[in-house]
Amino acid sequence: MSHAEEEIIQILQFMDKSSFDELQLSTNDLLLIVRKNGCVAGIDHNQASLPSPGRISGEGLSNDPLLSDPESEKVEHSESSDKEQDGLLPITAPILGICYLQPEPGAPPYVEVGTAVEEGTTICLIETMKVFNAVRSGVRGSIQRVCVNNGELVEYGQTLFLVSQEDING
Amino acid sequence: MASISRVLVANRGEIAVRVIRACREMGIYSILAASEADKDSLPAKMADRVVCIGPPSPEDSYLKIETVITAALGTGADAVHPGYGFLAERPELAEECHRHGIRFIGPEADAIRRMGNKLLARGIVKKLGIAVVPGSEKVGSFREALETAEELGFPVLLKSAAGGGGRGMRVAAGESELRAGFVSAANESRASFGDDTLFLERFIPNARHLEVQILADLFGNVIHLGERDCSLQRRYQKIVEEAPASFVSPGIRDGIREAAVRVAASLRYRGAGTIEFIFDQDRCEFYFLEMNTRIQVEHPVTEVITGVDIVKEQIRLADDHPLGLAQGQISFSGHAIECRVNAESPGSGFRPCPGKITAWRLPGGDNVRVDTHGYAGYAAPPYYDSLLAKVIVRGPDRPAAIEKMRCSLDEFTIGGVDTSIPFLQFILDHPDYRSGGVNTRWVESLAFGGPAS
Repeated sequence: MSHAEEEIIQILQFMDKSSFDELQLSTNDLLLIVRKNGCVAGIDHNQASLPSPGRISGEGLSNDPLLSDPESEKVEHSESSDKEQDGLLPITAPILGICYLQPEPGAPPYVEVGTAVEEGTTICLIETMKVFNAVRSGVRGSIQRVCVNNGELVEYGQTLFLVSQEDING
Repeated sequence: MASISRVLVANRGEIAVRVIRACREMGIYSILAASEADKDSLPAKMADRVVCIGPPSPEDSYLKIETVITAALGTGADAVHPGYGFLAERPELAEECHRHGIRFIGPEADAIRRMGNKLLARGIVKKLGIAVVPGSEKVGSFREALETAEELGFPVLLKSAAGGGGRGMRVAAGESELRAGFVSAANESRASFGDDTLFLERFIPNARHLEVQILADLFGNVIHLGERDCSLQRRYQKIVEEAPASFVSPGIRDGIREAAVRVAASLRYRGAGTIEFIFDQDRCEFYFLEMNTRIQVEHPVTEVITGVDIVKEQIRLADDHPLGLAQGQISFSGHAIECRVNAESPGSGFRPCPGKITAWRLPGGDNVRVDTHGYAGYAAPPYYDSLLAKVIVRGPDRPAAIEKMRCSLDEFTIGGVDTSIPFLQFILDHPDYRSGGVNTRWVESLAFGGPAS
């Protein structure tokens, strides 16, 4: 786990225990917004315009198990791009919605780093208003990076996974 | 419910800029729902957050209710502003917002639905004792249409019950045109609106288009902000709008204002709305045309003569506030004109001209306002309408306002795309326009060859 990831987890644990309802933290290369009550926490790099820090709004904490668990590794987002990254192919979201990495709560994720995928392999679900859309890999290769967190809002075109297009039969 | 603090703007272009500005001034966090083609647009640069909701095509982005709702839920928005067009008058969006605990910045779904069906709206308004354009109920067959047309008297207008905003209409001057128009109007109506219900209205050859802006709160208070004259139209698209309607008698203006307030009150309306009327200049009679249950493109002309910020009022009214002003506190000062600047080539049949803006210099000065999403280097995408900017001026009287608009359009420099500015200049210079001798067919009767004319 990187230093930044450790700090983010510490902040989340602090928020969990505190009576604050919202935290916004901005530094030169990081904007962290944490809100309680059902609003999905997100980490956005390179925001064009940063809101003023320190605003508090009142909501309560939700115990939805599909929302990011502060104990697990939080994914830092890199700038989403359609171009190849480090020779890896991005798989992007075909629609906007809530991304689920596993078929249901408690089940193992569809794919992990190292999982071999074919074109038709389901790699995640994206939900809009209770309709769950299966996202297929579209390429043959193996997953090298998981770029989103479970339960997170993903935008149309957002990079979900990075895949290396190897010949998996050797 | 807590006060609105995060608004999802489910629209694009100049109206998205307008709504985001109002949010910023109210300390409200703005989230723009943008298609892929609008990710680098001006509203995207202004919003506190942008979420990409789909590919460029409106059917896959701006028109997807479930995507807009999911974007609102996922970004923690507590309200959605639909702008105009797109989903603004889709009652299903208002219903889904309500179902998910999100405020819809607009009226209740029921009011949208009732005024959305133009035939139903006519019936509702008729019951209030307000005149509607002489016309028919639903005409189910060409036979019925012909009988009705003969009663009303040709020429007649074939209209779609599910349409509005000038779409799905055909003029028929006689039986053969009615026969041809009936089938094609029904087909177009079914394709565009999913409903092929047609009705007829008398065609009024010498008409003015007048409309009244209203605001209403959830406590039953309704006020009007005066009327607008939008008679200058090309293919039912407004090009120049003014406030007040200076060529119409005070009696008529009072009549339409009073009628508009009564219509809104009878619907238990909430928010901003506009009731449109046709004024028959030959008969000196006004008739209810339709009601638009959303903010309109031309709202700025009302804002600059009343000093009321209609978008901020929309947000406050959606937030359960009572109207902040009583009718007696609304006053009108001066004369306002708005010109819609489109990226199109008037000399080539008004063909749209999407493209990159290489030069951009806005007009300025006192009482000159420009609502736009354009900027130097902006590439207007081809997937949407061609409206690039609205220039709004206010003067102490109409002649002064016309002069100010002429000068502003002269100052407004746009390079890289053709615009309708030469056509607007032609209109402003025309003696008929200046003397008020116009009607809704006047623009189309103009012979305009191009910038050299």
